[in-house]
Parts: sequence; structure tokens; C-alpha cells
Amino acid sequence: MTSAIETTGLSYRASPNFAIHDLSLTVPAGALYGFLGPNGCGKTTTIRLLLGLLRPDAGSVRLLGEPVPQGLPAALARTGVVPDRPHLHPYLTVAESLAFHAAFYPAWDPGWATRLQRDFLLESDRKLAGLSKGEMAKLMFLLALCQRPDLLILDEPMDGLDPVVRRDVLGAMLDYVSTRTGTVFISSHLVHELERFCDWVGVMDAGRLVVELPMAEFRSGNKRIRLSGADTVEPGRASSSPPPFTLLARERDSGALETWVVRGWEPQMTGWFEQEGIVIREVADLDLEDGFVELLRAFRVGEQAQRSDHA
Amino acid sequence: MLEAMIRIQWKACRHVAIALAVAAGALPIVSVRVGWRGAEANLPRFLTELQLWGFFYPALAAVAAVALAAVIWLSDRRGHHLYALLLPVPRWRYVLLRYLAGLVLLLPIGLALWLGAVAATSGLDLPPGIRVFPHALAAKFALALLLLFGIAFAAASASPRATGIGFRVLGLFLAVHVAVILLRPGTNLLWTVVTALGVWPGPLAPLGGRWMLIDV
Repeated sequence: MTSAIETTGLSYRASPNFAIHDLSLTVPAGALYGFLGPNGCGKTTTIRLLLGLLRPDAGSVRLLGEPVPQGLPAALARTGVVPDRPHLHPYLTVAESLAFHAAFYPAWDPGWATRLQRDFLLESDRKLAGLSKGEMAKLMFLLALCQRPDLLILDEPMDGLDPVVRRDVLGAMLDYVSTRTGTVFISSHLVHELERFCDWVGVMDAGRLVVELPMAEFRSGNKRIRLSGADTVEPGRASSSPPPFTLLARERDSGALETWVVRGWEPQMTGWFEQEGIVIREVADLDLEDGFVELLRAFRVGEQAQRSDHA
Repeated sequence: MLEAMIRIQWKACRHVAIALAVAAGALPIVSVRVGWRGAEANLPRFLTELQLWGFFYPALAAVAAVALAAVIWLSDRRGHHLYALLLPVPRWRYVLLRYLAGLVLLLPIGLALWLGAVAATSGLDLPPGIRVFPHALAAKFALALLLLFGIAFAAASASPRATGIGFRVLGLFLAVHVAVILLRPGTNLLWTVVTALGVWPGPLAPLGGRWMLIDV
């Protein structure tokens, strides 16, 4: 098995105004996969589809090689989930909640649970209804981690948490990853949060997967290039040869200078500019957040153009 | 898993279960104590009063079944069943675990009624021809409790879609019932169904009949 999560042509209409379209995701086993997208783009809906909480209108899902929903119990036994909102029984105490959860997971690690409970300062006799948001997040992480999963699915786990809690839960998660070849699928709209540790990234917008690639490729292939003499060039027009990269954005600066934001850049592509008579002044890396923003902007422009073509 | 489920279900329902057990234990004692004063002088009146008290046994079973089923599913409902659906067990098995743990909660209620019935009838100086039925009454109560809990549990665990379908079927049946009454005044569809369900061998038969702790 090479993919921890695999969806093929997944479609789901959530409301008249929103749908997941033809989503094909591949999360390699062992990856720390950042699932990025703006609020309301369909990340949580996708996760719900992955976990069999929603039935897709079309397409298929495989979780740890098991088809969803047929093989879901087997897949869930090896999957730790931290949903976007607290889902535990509020009348239980921390100790009771741990005991109940442990009963369902044969690989439950009681020693680590005790250690994490101590590190997270979660008192056994505290009722869940009385826990703060941060404490609840820590407990949900503890439950997900101590079942020793092969796959962790985290839906906006850092949202609204203070920096101390974030550091605690991220530390625990990275500890886990460092001791075991697990896969982590983490959704967020906080790009910089994922940039630090993810090695794969999938970007979603308006119910569609915009891009999915290794983080290194995403980071290194996204460049901001300052050019002179580019004002007469229209990449892709008949008069010029098609560029070997994807042009995400183009902005006119002062004078004859222009800034292009490109994806899929490689150093040998300077030849294309020379051929077009364009002089490269500067090539700068885009950080993940800028790359993400430019990618979405280009995607939306493309979508809009496609819609107007249809109209 | 079942033990874990019993533990959390007891935690959620213990107040309701204890209150119902106290009520179940008290019911036979109160019914006998209230009616027994002067019963020797007027035994038929005592038996009639006891028969009226008989209404409370199936009523208590219904209240217990509905209350426990509702409380059992309350937390899952509030959490939109998310936690349950993320556990690595098939849905039917989770429902079965909840149901079996629910049966354990019924035990103290049934037991309390049996003990109450035994206590209420022990030491009574009854005239010849009058007998006590504490065990039979407790068994009938347990049967009614099981039956009603099954129905209430199924209703409480149903999805909104299934509940909607249930209500639509019920509404359709009532509409047909009214239409039949209007078209053929002599036919009562509702009564026919109630009789079919509530009279032996109908599935709700244990709820009917005589609920007598002391009888001829």
C-alpha cells in the first residue's frame, strides 16, 4: 500500500450553492500532508467524506487501503481523528473518557496516555463539560494519538488555540511522528502553521482540488520574477512559444518593469525569457503563504474565465 | 466494550434510573398501604381500588422506557453522533452495545418493583380465596418494560430521516382512518389496529390485561 488516503472523482453536493467537484486526492503513506484552503472551500466536507460521515454522490474513497464505507471500521481502528469541534461526551470526566475510548482500540497505549495527560495538565476528575477550549483540544489529541494510529486526520486542529496549547499539541504530534511511520493529514487555513512541518500539500478552493504536490516542489517552484521588456509579450499567444512554467499572476511595475508570479519554475527556464527578448532582473522565492494566495488568485481567475466562456 | 458502555451509560442515566427504581419499589407498597385500611370490612372495594392502581404499572414502565431511551441517546444526539460514528465499530454494533447497556439499566427498576411487591404483600392477613401475585406482577412488569424500552430505544436511536418516515406513515394511517370513518361509518380502522396489537397474541399484549398484586 502506497497511499494512506486515496479519493477518485469524489463529488458531493452539500447545498444548492456548494459542492465538492471531482476530487481526486492521493496522500502518500508516511506523509505529513497539509490540506490547505480558505474558509468554506470544502475541507471539512472532504474530511467528512473521507471518514464516511457523508455519502458521496459519485466517486470512491480508500482509507488505509480500505474502501469507505464498507471497510470503515477496520480503517477507523487505525485512524486517529481530531474533528473541527469537540465531540466527546460532556458528562464524563477525563479519566472516564480515556477509559471508554481505550476500550475500542486494541493498540491503545496506556503508558503514553498517562504521560501525555500529565504533560497536558489534564486532571483525571475534571468533567469534560468544564474543560476550556485548549484543554478539550489537548484531550482530543491525546485520544487520537494514544490509540497508536497509522493515520491521523486533523481538521483545523489549531484553530482558536493559544500559542502555548498549539506548541503542546504540535509537539506531541511530532513526537509521535518521529517514533512511528504514521501519516498525518492536517487541514488548515493557516498556511504558515503547516509550512513548518508538512512535506506534502494539497490546496483546495471552491470544492475543487487546485494542486497537490510535495511541499519542496511547491515551495521551490513558486517564484516572483522581476522582468524588463516583458510588456509586449503575451505568453501562450501564437506569436510567442508557450512558457514551460505556469504564469499565476502578472503585475506592471514602474517603467518597463513587470513582476510575474510563476509556478513550476526551474533554473534552466531562463532560456525561454532570453528567447522572448525579456531580461530577468530578479528571481525570488515565494513563501508558502504568498504562493498559496497567488495560486488561489490564478485559480479563481481561470474559473471565472471558464464560466464566462460557458456563458 | 460492553463494560465501558455500561459504565458511561450508568453515569449518564443513574439519576433517572435511581428515581425510577424508587418509584417502582414504592408503587406496590403504596397501592396496598393506601387501600388496605379497612379492607377487611370491604374487600371488594379494596380489590377495585387495587385494580385502579394497576394502571400505574404499565404507565411507569412506559415512563421508564421513554426516559431511559431518551437519556441514553441524548449525548450522541447533541454531538450529532460524531463520536459514535468515528469509533471503529459498525453502526449496528454500537447501537447493540447501547441497547444491551440500556437493558442493564432496566434491571434495578424491575428488581425494585419485585422487592416492593414482595414487601407489600408479606405479612398481610388475607381472607380465604384471596391470593397475592408479587412474582407474576413483577414478571409482567419486566416484560412490559422490555417491550416498551425496545420501542422507545428504536425511536430514540432513529435518524431524523427515519423519524420523518415514521411520522409520515403514521399521518397517512390517520388520514386513511378518518377517510374510512367518513365513507363507512361502521368501520374503525384505528380500533382494529389497536386490538390487533394490544390483544393476545398481539405484540403489545403484555401491556394490557389485569395488573393485580392481590386478586381472587
